[in-house]
Amino acid sequence: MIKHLVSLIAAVVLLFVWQGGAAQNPDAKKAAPQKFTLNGYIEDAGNGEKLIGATVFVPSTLEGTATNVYGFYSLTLPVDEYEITFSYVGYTAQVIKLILDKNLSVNVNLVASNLLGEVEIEAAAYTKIQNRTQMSMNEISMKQIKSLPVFLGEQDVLKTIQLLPGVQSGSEGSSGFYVRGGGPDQNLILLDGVPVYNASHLFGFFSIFNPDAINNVKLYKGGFPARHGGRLSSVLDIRMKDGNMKEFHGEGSIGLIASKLSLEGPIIKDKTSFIVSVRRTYIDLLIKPFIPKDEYVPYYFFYDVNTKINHKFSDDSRLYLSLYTGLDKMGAGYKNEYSYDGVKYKDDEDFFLDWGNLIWALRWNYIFNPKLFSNTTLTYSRYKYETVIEQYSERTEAGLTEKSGIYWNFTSGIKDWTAKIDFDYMPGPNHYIRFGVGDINHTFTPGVNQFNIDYSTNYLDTTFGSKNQYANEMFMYVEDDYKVNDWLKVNAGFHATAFLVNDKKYFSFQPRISARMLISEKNSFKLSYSRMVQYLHLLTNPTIGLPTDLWVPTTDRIKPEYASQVALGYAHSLPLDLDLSIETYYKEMRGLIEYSDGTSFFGSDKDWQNKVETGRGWSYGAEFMLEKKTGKFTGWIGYTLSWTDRQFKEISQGNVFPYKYDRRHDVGIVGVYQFSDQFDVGAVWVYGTGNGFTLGLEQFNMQNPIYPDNYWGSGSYEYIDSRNNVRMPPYHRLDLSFNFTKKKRWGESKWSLSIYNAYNRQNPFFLYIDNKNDGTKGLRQVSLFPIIPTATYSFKF
Amino acid sequence: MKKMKYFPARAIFLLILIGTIYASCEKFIDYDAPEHHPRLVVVSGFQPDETWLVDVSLSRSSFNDTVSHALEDVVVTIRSGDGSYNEELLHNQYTFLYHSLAKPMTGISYEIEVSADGYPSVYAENKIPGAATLISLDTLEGFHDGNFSNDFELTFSDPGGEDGFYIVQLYSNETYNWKDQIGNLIFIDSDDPNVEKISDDGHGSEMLFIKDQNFDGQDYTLRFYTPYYYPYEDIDAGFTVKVFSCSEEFYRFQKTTLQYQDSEGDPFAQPVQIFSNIENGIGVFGGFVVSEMEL
Repeated sequence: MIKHLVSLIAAVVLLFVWQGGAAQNPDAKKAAPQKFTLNGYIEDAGNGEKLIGATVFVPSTLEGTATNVYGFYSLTLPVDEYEITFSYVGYTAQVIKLILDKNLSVNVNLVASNLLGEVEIEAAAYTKIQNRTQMSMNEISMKQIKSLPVFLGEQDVLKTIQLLPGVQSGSEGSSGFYVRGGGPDQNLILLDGVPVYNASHLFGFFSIFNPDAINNVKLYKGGFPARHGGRLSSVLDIRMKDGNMKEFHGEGSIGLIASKLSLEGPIIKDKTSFIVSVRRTYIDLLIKPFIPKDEYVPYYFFYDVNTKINHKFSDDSRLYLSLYTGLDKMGAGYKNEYSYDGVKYKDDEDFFLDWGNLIWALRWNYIFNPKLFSNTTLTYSRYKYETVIEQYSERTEAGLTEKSGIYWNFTSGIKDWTAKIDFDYMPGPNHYIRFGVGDINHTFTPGVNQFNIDYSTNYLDTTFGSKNQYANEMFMYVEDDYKVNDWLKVNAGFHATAFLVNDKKYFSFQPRISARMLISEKNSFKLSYSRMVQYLHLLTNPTIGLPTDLWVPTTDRIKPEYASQVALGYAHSLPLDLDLSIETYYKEMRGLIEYSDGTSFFGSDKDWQNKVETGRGWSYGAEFMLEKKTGKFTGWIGYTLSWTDRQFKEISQGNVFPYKYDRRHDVGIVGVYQFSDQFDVGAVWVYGTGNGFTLGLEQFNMQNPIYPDNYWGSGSYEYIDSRNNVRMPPYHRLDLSFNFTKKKRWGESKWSLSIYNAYNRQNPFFLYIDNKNDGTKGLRQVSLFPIIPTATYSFKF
Repeated sequence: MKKMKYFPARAIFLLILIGTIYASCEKFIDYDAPEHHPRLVVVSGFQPDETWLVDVSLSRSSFNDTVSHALEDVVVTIRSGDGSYNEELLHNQYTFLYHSLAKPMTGISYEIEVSADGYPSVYAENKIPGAATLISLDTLEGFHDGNFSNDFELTFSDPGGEDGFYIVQLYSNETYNWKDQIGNLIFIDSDDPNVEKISDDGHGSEMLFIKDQNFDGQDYTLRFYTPYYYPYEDIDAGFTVKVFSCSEEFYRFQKTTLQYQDSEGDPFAQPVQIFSNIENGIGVFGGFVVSEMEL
């Protein structure tokens, strides 16, 4: 099948290449109205970083376009003289006068600015909320992420995402997120286009994304463009910086638990650049000197490294190589050497868990002609979790050494190889066509044990456990952002997939459509429908992000997950550059998996299919967002009113029950005020209806009738009416941040003071029934984080 | 070797959990627990050739420590759907159970009604399904997860016609020189995909649960093994396999009860909702029939 798809795509590409060439053919010019194409890249003048979503606007014709994720634009217009405005939020707009009487390639460098000029406001209106076809999408600037209050000194992309309407946080402090009633496995998290399978450090308290290495963050909650697929509920598209093409620069920070350093610069000016970002925690290094050598030393650390090199062969051809690697490791070790009775002994013991991702992507951007942009990608993504026990001993007597040892290792994880090619074809200002094809080869390792014993009399070296499972996921998509007329714009397309596992084949056709109806200059209605299919399931515990969470494929028994979502929205541009959006949505999901009653989320290896139930889910609600992206004050007020339910045949006796994160009200208020270049203040307030949890409120005794002697199975039992039958108290919290920036001769230094949970709210982490001092029973609440002030020093040069 | 499989991860996470709890804040919160109205708890498993026995008690709130006793002065009535049987059961003050001298029959639908002053009356309906016919039982040597084990192959015939729900148990009949034969319930496990696993900790469980959805009306061979049964070499051990053909309700009650026992006290396990088919109350009224084979 893939062969046919590739042939089809190749034929289409040839057609488009030929069409692009035809525009330059004098004979062709005679036959059609003369049109020429203006194309190029829009970059930051200071560092050469691509500006994603920058606007190219023609005020005289009110036509325009925006740059893609590689900063490329293409606009085809009739031959004429034009004033073209190039703009991007936070940058001074640039107006270029030109005569378009032939195809032109114009690369534009915009200068960062804190003030908005009039011309920029006009140009930016082209990509204003009411004009975009795309709905249910949020874009957050890195500047905003870096100005907001932080938890334990670490800026976090995922925790900022949690503040958006329609996105709910998991448990206290966790970086997991739940979009429109979906589970944590239903989020496609892409780092430079590569899926990330475990996006958290330290059991979910931090995400793996180092903000210093990130250029752009976009979250899709619905109205999914056809180019994205593979998960039901959201796509989080995180793009790394490319590296400064102009000058060598660096930035870093020293925080409470971790420090980080990023370096970037040109290898060959304006041709080749690099960026390296490293982050590591150091609590293990700090406590090590205080623990005696002959005692077990517990340790924990995580690190991550982001690197990228990009090389510009020509204006039409660029190559990117990006790499992410990260690791969490915790355990305890012991080393000891001693002598007894003339015999030397040496013991070395260690047991630890480690987990992490390794991701790399090789990307080649090539412009076939001014209207046809291509991106060819080869990527690798691996998530691995392992537990290791090592125990080695040496005994030396009279120069003879006897060695013995035990080594045990348990490994699980997932590994992907992906090859894909994407095209952006822009035949004119009224069409923006994207199409592509790809193949993902998945290798699942549900759990393999390696056991090695080496004693003087015994030797064993064996490997056992589940076999690797392999699956192939092929996809193709086509979408067109089509401006039908001045008030109607449609993005329509489809995403088609085939999934091959264990001789079983699954196919899916996923139509996607979004429409924008402009009802006045500043008001529009939007409507979208998307169907999504997910072939991968995550066996995860519902509370915290554990490294043991296991990705498993669709099988003969456990079918794919499906979702259909419709959304209706209203967008309005208000004075003071405020954007208002109101969206309602209804999402239906089937093939969802949940742990069966009584199953533990440890040891989910060979029999995982026996531990889960499959069922259905619904989510519906309304989201309100008032946002200000520019000026001295930026931020948003978000509110979500939603209902989320699940139904599984073998859970809650087949009755519908509320999802754990069925949160009726969810509020996020985010604000950053920049008093001056030296001082800004950020504040975040969140409120959420309490999570559901399951508690046996009733008990009974019984004698099991199956045993005549009434011994086995007799006793006291808790009776639970329904899963998630009790609500926790509501969650709310205020965080504050104060950032003091100082220009230095060598660059810039910044002190950030953050106060997490400023009014010391004791939010629920979990609840259980316990005895009170007066002998009665009550519900005891465990809260994790009280007020936590932290200071971070950061610098830029 | 196998027991060690998840120990380190579990131990470390438990340490983290305990550490987190110690480092965190705890308080009792005002919780408006719904006012608890005790409900009648009715438990009765009935089988052919055994007289009716019904256990009736009261549920209690999890927020108080009162002990519920079996209830007296309760009217327990059982009637058959075809009208051939209708009886009010008597209370036995020694066993605390309600009983009768009558015996239920296979294939007939029975309804129970239990009434007691001050509590809502409860109802349930159920019947005894057709029995499985045991055809053969063999032993053989097996190897599972790095360990040798005693494997059994049991072939039985599913009567078909309606959904079949089976519970399989293994007893050892051990004869010692100091004691005559004793029957011990042995924990068993199976790799059979039709078996509904209760736990995969490698220890097996006291029952195997299997549905006939893939062998309705056919002969079926179930292979199972004893992960941790090592009889003394000098004893004369035989085995008895019991196959309980259950109504769906009785099967689900037994399965969830065993899941509850198995996961009790595990902070990482999903809480178990014990199945109930008692309308307005809690418990089970379910039919079953036992087939046995010795080896």
